[in-house]
Amino acid sequence: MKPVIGITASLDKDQVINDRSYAISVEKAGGIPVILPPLRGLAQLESVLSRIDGLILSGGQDLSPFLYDQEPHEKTSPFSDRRDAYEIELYRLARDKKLPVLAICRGLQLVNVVHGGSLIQDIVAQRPGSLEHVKPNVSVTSHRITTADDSLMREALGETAVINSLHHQCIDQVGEGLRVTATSSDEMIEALETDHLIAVQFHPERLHEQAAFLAIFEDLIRRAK
Amino acid sequence: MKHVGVVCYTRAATGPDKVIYNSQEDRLIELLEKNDILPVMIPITSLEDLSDYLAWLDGLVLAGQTDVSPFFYGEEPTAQTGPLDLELDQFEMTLLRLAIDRLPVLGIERGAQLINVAGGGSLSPINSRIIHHGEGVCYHSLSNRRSSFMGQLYGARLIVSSRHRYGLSEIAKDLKWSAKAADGLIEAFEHSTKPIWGVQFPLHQLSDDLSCPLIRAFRQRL
Repeated sequence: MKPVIGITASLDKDQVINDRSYAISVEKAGGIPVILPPLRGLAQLESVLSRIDGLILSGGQDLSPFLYDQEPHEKTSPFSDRRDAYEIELYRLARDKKLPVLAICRGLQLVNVVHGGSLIQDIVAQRPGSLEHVKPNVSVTSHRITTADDSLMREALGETAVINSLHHQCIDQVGEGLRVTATSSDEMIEALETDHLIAVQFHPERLHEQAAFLAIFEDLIRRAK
Repeated sequence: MKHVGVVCYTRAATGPDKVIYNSQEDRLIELLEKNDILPVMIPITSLEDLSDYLAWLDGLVLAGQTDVSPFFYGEEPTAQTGPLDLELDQFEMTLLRLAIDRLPVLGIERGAQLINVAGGGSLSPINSRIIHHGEGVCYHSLSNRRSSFMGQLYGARLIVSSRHRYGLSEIAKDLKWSAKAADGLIEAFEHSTKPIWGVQFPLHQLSDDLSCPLIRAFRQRL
């Protein structure tokens, strides 16, 4: 059987939703996608993880700034304590088990916070002069990143790549144990890695038709086998 | 802990890049979790790996409100037919046909209609004095067959909300009716030999007092 990849989902009013591109990318890369709705209780997460071979922490709304000891900035969007708690616990357990993880956009920010790092709550307000990181159409590429030597980012994307971008928050202090493996020209952190994690600030799921971005999913599937 | 797959429906959003979401009602997820079932959402994918999904799951829930394409039971859409999703129909029908011999299946609303159609039954647009679909929330009563799961769980009568334009016309030969509305429309059924149930009403929109017993009965068969 192919590796089963669990994908976390967003809450949108009375619905649980997940951009189809995630499941399509996983399937195209050779995995079996399942969507993990944010549960209300955390006691059964071991059981959730026991059945999956890899985890994707998906994009979505801002994290609660209280998680990194800040008060909300006026530009911070409404956050979900339920989703935050669910994904944080899922990531912690996955890390303990060394389960392969791919964290995307919000996922990268969440991983950074779990590792003790912090976020800039609004790039435009708090880091003026940055590139435009909120492109309304995330299916088109936006700006260039440079990857680090001997990283999985380098392997997938080469020395530089033009990526898409849809985030108004970003990493400030990098969490402990995380290696920065891609940055943009305004010194924005675009990717982090550990031995079982790739975290990216951009959206490879929306560029899966390009081999370089699908390779990020293929790498997850390979590690999940 | 039992893992139950809930098949997603697709929902298109507006915006410049026209994102399409795999979605499900949160209340249904809540209800499963509340009754000690781990809900996992099954996205619409190609039809290649469906056996793998079934091997991975302990049970299957089909839900949603999109009308089943009438082509599956030899009819054409009418002016009353809502927007169709042929890709979803093909996915769920294929998954369901594989699941029927392997897993307990609970069909809710559209899911119940799919089970009936997969078994060879048919549907038709509702034209009745009883209101099954309206602008706001509408309700009607059910008469439950005493020996059925509906009778055992709810007694002779249950008031439910209703939001369907199509209803069962011919019931599939392996299914037995379990509840009917006052106009005779079949609103719940069960398989004569397999752990398969269908309810036409939005079970998860009922209060916990009423919805939990059926979910618990489903869990006992997983």
